[in-house]
Amino acid sequence: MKKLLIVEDDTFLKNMEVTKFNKKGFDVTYASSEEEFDTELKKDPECILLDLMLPETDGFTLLTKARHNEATKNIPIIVFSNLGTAADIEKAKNLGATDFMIKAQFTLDEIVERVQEL
Amino acid sequence: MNPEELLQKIEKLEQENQNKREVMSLVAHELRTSLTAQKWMLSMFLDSDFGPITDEQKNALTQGFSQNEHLIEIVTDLINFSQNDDMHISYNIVEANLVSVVDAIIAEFSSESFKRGVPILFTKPQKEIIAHIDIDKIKILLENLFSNALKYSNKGEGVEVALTQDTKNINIIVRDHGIGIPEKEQEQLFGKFFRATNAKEKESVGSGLGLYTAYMIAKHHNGTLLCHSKESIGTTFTLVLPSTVS
Repeated sequence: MKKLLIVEDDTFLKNMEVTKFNKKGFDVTYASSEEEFDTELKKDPECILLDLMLPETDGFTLLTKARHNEATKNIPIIVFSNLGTAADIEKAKNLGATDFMIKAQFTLDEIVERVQEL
Repeated sequence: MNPEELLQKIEKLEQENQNKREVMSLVAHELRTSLTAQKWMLSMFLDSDFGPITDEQKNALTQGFSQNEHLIEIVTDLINFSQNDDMHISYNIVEANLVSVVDAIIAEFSSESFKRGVPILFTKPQKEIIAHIDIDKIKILLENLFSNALKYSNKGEGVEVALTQDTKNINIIVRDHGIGIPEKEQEQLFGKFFRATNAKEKESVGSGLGLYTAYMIAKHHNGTLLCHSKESIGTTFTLVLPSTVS
């Protein structure tokens, strides 16, 4: 069972993501702030789905943290946001994101499929 | 106006443009988040994640899902428009293999092509074609052409894609056999907010900004976008890029 960490501050979206990934057999944990992210990072997730706009921090900061953490420096991290200018995508890729997906362009089934491919 | 004043004026305008783009990006984020919530909720109902649904419920939810998809498309058009309606925006020009770029777009549209029953056939060139382009911008342009070709084709009609090169130009050709564009409306095709009358009948929702943005991107590459269309026969768009773009 793949250990997935979902970083999402919108409760409604987070609940749907958690429900869907649980149904598909993932071991899901979630974080909606930097503090929760730090706690969850210590549990060695195998994949991270990372939102960009978060309260008091942003996904780029958390991405950098994860890439400097020994246990998560090589795991797949998908930046999953409704931002998505060329500059955002380039920045995420430069910081080590495995992929950048714009939420509105995918159904949850399609996201699950992408995570299963990794 | 002396050179110093002129420089200050340019800097001020650039700052204003940057502010506009930032505001648009934030507004787009909020709109997309709300539309994402609806999209995911509807698709989860359709996938019976919240329990079985009746055929009647499925029909209503499918219509709701489709309307929501149209709105997401319009928001994307608005974002692309806001980011490309300025000839002074800097482009990140790199050397790119166009076959790979076109392949990536075809992969992106494969499920849409399957859903609509409109196959995409790509005739690849004998050898690779390299161009100097901003890959993200050319993708936006091609996404517009592919999206239109699929939307305005009827089930069973194919979309043909070809890539050619001669000494002067590189051509990316996207041909459909769909509803076509009425001849008297073709002059306005690349204008802002234009939508052909028969396009409005087939797909009621659209921004009318997609082809305008595509045209601006082609111009930015010192290229152009050509259209040849006949109503009820089909439409061919050709993106013409110079063989060497500096």
